[in-house]
Amino acid sequence: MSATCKMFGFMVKQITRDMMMIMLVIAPFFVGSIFRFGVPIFEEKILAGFGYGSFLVPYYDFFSWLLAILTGMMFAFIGGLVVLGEIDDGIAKYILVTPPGENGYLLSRILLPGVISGAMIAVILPIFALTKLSIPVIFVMVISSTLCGIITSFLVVAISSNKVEGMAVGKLSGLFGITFFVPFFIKGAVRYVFIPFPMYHVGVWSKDETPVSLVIATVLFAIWGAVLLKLFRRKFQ
Amino acid sequence: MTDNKVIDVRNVYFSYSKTPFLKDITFSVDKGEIFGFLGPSGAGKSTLQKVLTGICTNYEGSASILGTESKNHGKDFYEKIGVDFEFPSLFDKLSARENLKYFASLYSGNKRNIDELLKEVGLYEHADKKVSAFSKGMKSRLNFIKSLIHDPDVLFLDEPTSGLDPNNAKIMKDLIRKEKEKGKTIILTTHDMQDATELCDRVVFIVDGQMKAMDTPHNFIMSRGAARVTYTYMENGQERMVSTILSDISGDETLKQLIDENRITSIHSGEPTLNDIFIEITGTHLD
Repeated sequence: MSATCKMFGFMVKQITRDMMMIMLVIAPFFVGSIFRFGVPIFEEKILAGFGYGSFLVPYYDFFSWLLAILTGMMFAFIGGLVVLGEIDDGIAKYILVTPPGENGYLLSRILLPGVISGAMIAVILPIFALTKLSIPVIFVMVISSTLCGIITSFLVVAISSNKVEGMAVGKLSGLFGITFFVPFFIKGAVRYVFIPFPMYHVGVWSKDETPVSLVIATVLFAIWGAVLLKLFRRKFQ
Repeated sequence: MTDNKVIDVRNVYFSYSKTPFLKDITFSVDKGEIFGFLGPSGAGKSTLQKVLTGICTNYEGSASILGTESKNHGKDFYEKIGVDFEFPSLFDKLSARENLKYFASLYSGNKRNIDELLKEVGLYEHADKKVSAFSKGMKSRLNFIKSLIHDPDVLFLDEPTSGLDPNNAKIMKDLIRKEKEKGKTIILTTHDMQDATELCDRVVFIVDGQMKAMDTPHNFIMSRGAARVTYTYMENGQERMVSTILSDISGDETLKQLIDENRITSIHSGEPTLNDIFIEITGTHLD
């Protein structure tokens, strides 16, 4: 087993010893269950009583997107908090002078959790989605939510100086993913404020089915990733 | 590069901004030598260590460690060097043994026996205790053996006795000497002149990112001032003090007379310390 995998395995062990981290891992299942079973019941039993029986039906896909984004974010949050804790303890700096080095650390703490979150999104979406999703849509959901999560990890580490700040930044960086919903709900020129955010363009693609929006989103993911990676690396020197 | 030369640094320049921080650093270190970087905080000692350990790679010039240019190092570079940072980097929630096992797992080469290392530093009895329950001295010792776990050829030690009580500082210095006896090459970064005098074969004074002087502590002391003898005696009810150069003592008639008359109240010899030499050469105090 490579040193990077050992580092990742060790992180998993750390997570199992921390109740908050365990909650972050199971949160997507919990939220998914509420969406899958709670939303239809809420609609049938409560909204129907007020004459809004199918009020939420047109928005069912949003629940799937929210679940995908949330899953990516939760895993990102875990990776970010572990890194911040290890920066506080001087361990992240020490890893730089071991064979796995900075790249191994990055892989074990940010990229591997990102990939696992992607796999988890691919598994939980078909289980908890309220509508049947096509393979291409699931594919875009998995990739964009995973990238969104990885960028959130970088953001949490790059602009927080400790774990407490990291938790605050983690919550705020949720807005990064939420920009997906802007094209659906915000009209007029104000929505152009969100153009720098890649998830905004994923939202445009989802709404208008314009492939060029996915290209723009990809470019923006790359720019955000490159800039934040540079800031992330600075934390170790 | 000669066979015996483990570290060879030539005309190294490095900067964090547009202004050069390290300027024209040139020195070499032989196998089995303890080489000290001395200087005040912010002088560039730790940055130079970062250059040598491959953390800062955008330097100019050449910094070769065991024949590998630091900025071009591969993964196996870290199999051969060990780094002990000033502040312990350990998992508080794990035991000493678990910490060592984890860090050992990051290396692929031969490893030293964990129990033997723990015994060497007197932590064997505490091997299964959580590090959070350790004292500062225990953490420092554990951190030190963590850097030895993969049996590196070169050790970089950053302020290894910083903040330790005299007893723990002595234990640490003995450990460093033991590693030297085993043939390790050691780079010691410190602003403690006493440590440098006791441990280092050679030292370099670094101030404002520049090398100001380099020699053995003994040569520094001998070249910058002779040892002196100071004695006191009573005369007319008052204590008088006289200081003379050790080499001139045979010609000191007053001293001879005082000894004959048994009137000496105190006598001691002294020589300039490395700290005095540092201040004299660099014009800077260590903090």
